[in-house]
Amino acid sequence: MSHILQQMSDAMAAIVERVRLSLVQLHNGRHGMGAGTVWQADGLIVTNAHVV
Amino acid sequence: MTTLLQQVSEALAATVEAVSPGIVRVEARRRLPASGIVWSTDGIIVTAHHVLEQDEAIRVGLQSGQTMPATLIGRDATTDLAVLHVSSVDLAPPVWAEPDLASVRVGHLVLAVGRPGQRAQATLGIVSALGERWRTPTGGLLDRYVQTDVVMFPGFSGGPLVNAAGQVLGLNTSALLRGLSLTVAISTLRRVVDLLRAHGKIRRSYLGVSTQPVRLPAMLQERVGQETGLLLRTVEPQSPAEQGALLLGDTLIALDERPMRDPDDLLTFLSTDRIGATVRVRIVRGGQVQEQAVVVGERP
Repeated sequence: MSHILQQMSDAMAAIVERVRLSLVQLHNGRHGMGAGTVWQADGLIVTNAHVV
Repeated sequence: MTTLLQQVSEALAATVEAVSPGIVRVEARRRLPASGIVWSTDGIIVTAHHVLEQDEAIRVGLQSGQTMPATLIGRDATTDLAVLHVSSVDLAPPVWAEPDLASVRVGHLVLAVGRPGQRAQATLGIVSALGERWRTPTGGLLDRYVQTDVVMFPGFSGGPLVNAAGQVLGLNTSALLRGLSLTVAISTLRRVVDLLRAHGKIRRSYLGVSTQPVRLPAMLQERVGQETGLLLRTVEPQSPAEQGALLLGDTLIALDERPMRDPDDLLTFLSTDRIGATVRVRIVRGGQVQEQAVVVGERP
């Protein structure tokens, strides 16, 4: 009965898994921490201004 | 398309129905009752510590509608867990996910199920984060935990988090970290339940101080090799700290050569095996570093 739930659940986890490689953690050198997204393969990362 | 949604919907309802016999109502406070999980057929129920406002006259409500008295076996504020016992032949533990959280991934679908009322209630969410070895603000140790975005309705604490296969991943609590829905994983549950069944509480060593991290003056930083220490802001009367001549305003630098940089260092140091041990305490008093001996006690 819950086979469909497991399929859906695995599909959702797979999406997280897929975007994980494009996700970085940012430290601003003080206490703050935030997330960033890889914009280009050559090293460009976008994030929020308030994080930096 | 409608069929797919109906299938999902029916499967969710079936999952709740399958797990609900293993979920009980725990009546131990004036306000709304909370939830508990049947741990074993011999009458053991696990629930959250913070939902028990009283140690006596606790009642537990079963799926059948039957309500019965429960005795408190033990409770531990630091992991927010408690163990109850009921004399009932009608107990059905839910199916636990084994081994532990090995198969759980961020993004997985989960249900929180509770029984604050007569019938089981549920909310739906996903696994937001998986955590390992976390010391709670009150000093408890969680081997593993799950953070979810499930809405914890009042009375949901003590109930299970259920995966898409209908297996229980752990026990939900909204009190360990304010504003967050956390689930204590089965490995921690098993450890704490065993300790509570054996001792009624989790024994922890105790100094009788509350502390606050402070930055040391530059000269001292160099001498002791650390940037921060722990300022003693209270020393309990008759406590091991007072008997060891520690004073309000002393700054704790190290215990048995282990640096005390933040309160977590102290909580980690005060483990069960240090009860009764004599430890060397290095402090700063009046700008001078000095050392004295303190016999560690047991937390009341």
